[in-house]
Amino acid sequence: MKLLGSIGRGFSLMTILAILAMALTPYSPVVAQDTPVSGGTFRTAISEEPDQLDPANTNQLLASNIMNNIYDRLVYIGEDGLPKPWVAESWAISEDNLTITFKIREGIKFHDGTDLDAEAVKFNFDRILDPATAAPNKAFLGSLESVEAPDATTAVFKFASPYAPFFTNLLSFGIVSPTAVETYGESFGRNPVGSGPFMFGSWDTGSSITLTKNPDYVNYREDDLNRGPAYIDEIVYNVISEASTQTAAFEAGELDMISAPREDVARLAATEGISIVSLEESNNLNFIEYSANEPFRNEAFRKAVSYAIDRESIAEIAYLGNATPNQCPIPIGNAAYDAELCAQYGYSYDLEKAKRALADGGFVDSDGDGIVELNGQNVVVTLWSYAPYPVQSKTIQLVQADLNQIGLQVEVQTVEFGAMQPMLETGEIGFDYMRWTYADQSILSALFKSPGWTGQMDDPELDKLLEVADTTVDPEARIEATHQVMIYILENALISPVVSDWVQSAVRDNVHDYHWDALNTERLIDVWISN
Amino acid sequence: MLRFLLRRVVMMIPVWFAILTLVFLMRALVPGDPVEIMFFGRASSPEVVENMRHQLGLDQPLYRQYFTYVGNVLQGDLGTSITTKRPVVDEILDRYPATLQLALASLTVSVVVGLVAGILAALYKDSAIDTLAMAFSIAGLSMPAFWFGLLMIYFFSVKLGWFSVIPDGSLKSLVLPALTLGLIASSIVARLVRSAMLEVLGQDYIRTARSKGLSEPRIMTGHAIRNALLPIVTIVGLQFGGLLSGAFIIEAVFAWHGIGELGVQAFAKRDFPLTQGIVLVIASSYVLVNLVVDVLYAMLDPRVSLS
Amino acid sequence: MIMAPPDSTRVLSGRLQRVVGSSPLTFTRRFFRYRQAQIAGIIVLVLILAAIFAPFIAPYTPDEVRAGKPLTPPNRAYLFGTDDLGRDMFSRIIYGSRITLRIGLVIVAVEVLIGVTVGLVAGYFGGWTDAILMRFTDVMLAFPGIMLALAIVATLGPGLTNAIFAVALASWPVFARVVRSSVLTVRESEYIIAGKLLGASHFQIIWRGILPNVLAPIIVLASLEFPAAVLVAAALSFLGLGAQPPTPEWGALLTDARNYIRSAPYLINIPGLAIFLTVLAFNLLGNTLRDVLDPRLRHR
Repeated sequence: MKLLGSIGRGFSLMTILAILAMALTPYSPVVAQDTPVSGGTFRTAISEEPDQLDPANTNQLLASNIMNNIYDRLVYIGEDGLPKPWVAESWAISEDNLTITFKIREGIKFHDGTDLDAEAVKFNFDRILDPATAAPNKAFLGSLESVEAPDATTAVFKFASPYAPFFTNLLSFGIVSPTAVETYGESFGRNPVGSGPFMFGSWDTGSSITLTKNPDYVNYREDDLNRGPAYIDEIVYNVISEASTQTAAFEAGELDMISAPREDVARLAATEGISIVSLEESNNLNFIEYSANEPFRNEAFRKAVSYAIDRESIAEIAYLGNATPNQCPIPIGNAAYDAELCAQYGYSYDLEKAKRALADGGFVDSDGDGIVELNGQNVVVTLWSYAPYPVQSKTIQLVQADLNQIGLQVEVQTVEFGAMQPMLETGEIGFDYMRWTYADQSILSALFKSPGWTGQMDDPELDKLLEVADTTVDPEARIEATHQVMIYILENALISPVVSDWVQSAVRDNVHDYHWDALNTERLIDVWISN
Repeated sequence: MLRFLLRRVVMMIPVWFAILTLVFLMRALVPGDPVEIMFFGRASSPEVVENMRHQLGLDQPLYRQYFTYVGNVLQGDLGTSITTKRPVVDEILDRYPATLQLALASLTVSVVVGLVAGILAALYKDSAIDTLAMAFSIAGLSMPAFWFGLLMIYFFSVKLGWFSVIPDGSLKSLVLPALTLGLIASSIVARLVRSAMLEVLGQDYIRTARSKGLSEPRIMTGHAIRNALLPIVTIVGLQFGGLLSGAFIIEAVFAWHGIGELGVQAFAKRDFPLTQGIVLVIASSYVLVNLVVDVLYAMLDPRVSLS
Repeated sequence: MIMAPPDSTRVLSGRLQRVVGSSPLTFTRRFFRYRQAQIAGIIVLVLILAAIFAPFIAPYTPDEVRAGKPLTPPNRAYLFGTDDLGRDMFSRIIYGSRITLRIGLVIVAVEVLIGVTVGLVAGYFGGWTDAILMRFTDVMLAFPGIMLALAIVATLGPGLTNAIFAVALASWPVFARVVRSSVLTVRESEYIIAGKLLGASHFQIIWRGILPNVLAPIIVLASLEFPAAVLVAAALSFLGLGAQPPTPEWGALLTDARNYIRSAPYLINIPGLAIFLTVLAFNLLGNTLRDVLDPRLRHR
């Protein structure tokens, strides 16, 4: 369980993981207004250097953003949340849900000229399953046991038990060239070779990574506008750790796109020649989670907190309006998100209900000092979050003020993410504000399946519901099963969902058709630059 | 001369070993298991952790680890970075030239500005020039470097557009970071030059020169400045260390990809082989620069006997 | 030639007077004759008053969110504007002065404690003790201050207390060096030898005989280390390793605001200016002290 536990975590950059997803409606397809022209360099910034560009050896979000341009994958996830053909032309799932047979498209070549065939696919997954590789993303393959390649176009995946998140989780596994892995050995992660629209160009240690266009690329994805090779000749990722320096470089015209700092969104949007592109239905979930200690184990306490949080105000102030209040225990971009359902079972801002919930749970202010007591003792609690992200610390301070109003005395404290997990596991952290980026419904298993990612969960009834959701392969039925889990979580107030923050980029106006796909990944193959 | 040099180098060896030992202990004294810390938040099984401990030699007793470490360092092996999985030596060599370049450029700025301001202040002691130079100097000493750096970028790159924000490897992109670090450092140089000059100006031989009727400019260039330069050599050596540490703050602000930026990231990620490597390399450079300064000083100062 | 006074203690303690001049009053008068000391004195006085009377001066508590509309630029109601949570920046700066003073004082106190002890012991006893202690000091000096502080705080984990500890641990060697060389100059002087002849213990001689005589460089150095410590601590906050939000430490305020450098520049310039002025004032005080206490420069 610890494996999955490590998935979510912190705030964008260094954290983890591929954004997996089964998002339904993340973006409105960009309508091409002019005829695309080829050529030009697309200059952007990354806040730090990725560790590797080898999908078997990294789980950084940052690395996966770059790797998405270099590698193709077996399938992609469409706007309907269903897998669509990419490198795999088609596939068949066995009756018992234990075998998936992919038909691999013929004629796809890696950048080094070798063939991407079933044997290469087998090589890729064998490599990740091999314990010697110690692939950080191995857990995403779930119950996958083996891959066979009976012929050049057939890859057979065998599972020990039905594993519904498999298709979405494939996002983490771009297909690498086996020949190149053998050639480069240990240093493959710095000399990546795939079959994607962009080829690895150069890596100037510490300062930039350059990708060049693959002139022979054929795009089989139907969610893109462009079917042929990319329009831009080059992508340059400049390493700039300081966000204000990124913005300065962008405004000085030295970059074409940056991930927009919230503090500057409004100002940049109002600046001539610059647009903000937003993905509001993101796969981000920000929530308050609880330990199994007193008073947090007390359901009334958790319900009171859930009622007392002013989500609108948090989205408005802490996120400067760049987030959507969320009552669901699942990201807004997720296929299973259902605002109506969550409004019915969830907790909207209501201080009276919050106070009543506290009173029902035995929290009363009998000595009149404005602070409620439990068993005669003032309730003094600490709300934690991780550093050094301003938005986390801002949010906990707003929640602190909210909770003061219902008679809870709350301290706030931030701690480096690295130091946080052990504290969560020992229960030293009573409740905390957490953020996970995760697009598949299995986010719920990752968070809550006993003992949960914090080691604080022990709920056999919930485990049973989660088991059903994870082994139901049919998408519709799976959403239904996930809803049962969500209702259970809300009824017991296991977490208090707060907001889903948006993914936002600032783009210069001469950059066209910049967009994300259903899994919140950039599709730079469509981007073109006018003069 | 050779013997003097040799003695200095020999004296340096125990100091360097002590540094090496401290750097080694740095990791050993870290509370918590470094492997646990570094795997933190990544999917890992107990075997993987055990494997890594073995690979890093952490399952050995401390004294064995120490000898292995010293042996490796002496062979030029600083270990492998945990985050990038590249040899630490490579990581440092990739970054070191950029930091050196910045440190030298800042040093030049600080020495030129500091000398001019210090000499002028001393010559025109108690005049408006003196007051101004010293006010400027003390202001520089009081400036938070990161704030100054942010303001520099804002005015010169964004507002005026004179310099690019992203360094492109040209001399021009060196200007802003070197000015930021150099101007701050020049405050100290200016103060010390001023007092060194004042001291020299009060010496007998200057009075003698004056009484012999030598012209003021000749006295200045021929005696005063040359003699005042001596202590400045020492200052420059000390400054160098300050500039290397300034890099830790300034590099991130200017997207300058030197060892300081690398260091901040390595510290933040607890990449201990890299952290140790950086600390060792910087401390060693500092010791080396001070050696050079000592030798220079001895060569320049007739009063220090070389034998 | 040794004049043998009747009582060692009296001889030793008589030296303190020399350090500050004829009397504390004339010393103070002489000190504030300097223009720079007057300016610095006013700034420091304001700072100290702000720290002491923070609850009376500040219109809001420093952590009160939604005290005003978020991101209100400075105006009459909010002298320094409000930050992104609607906290009153004026109140935060006022309360922050307490933290800044504490940082400087604690760091310097720890530095003095370690550095002066090492310097006194090394200088007084000489020989092997001196050699070992001073080599160790040299080794510590080989690590540029902020890098060492960074390494220590990265090891211990971020936080104001750890940052203070790290800075102090990284900077005491300067004191050791200076104190030792001062001790060497007084070690062989008549009254120390006299003290020894009269059978004073090592501790008595160090405490009453040597310490008062090396007080001047300690005071000067401490007054110059104070602003340096404030700057380094702010730098650590800037790197996210020092004070953690919502602590209104000025360096942390700067860090919090650095992405607002374009949208709300006052948020970054006000704490920047506060740090600058404070450090400036203490530097000026330190300089004046040096001028007054350092006999070589006194008449220049």
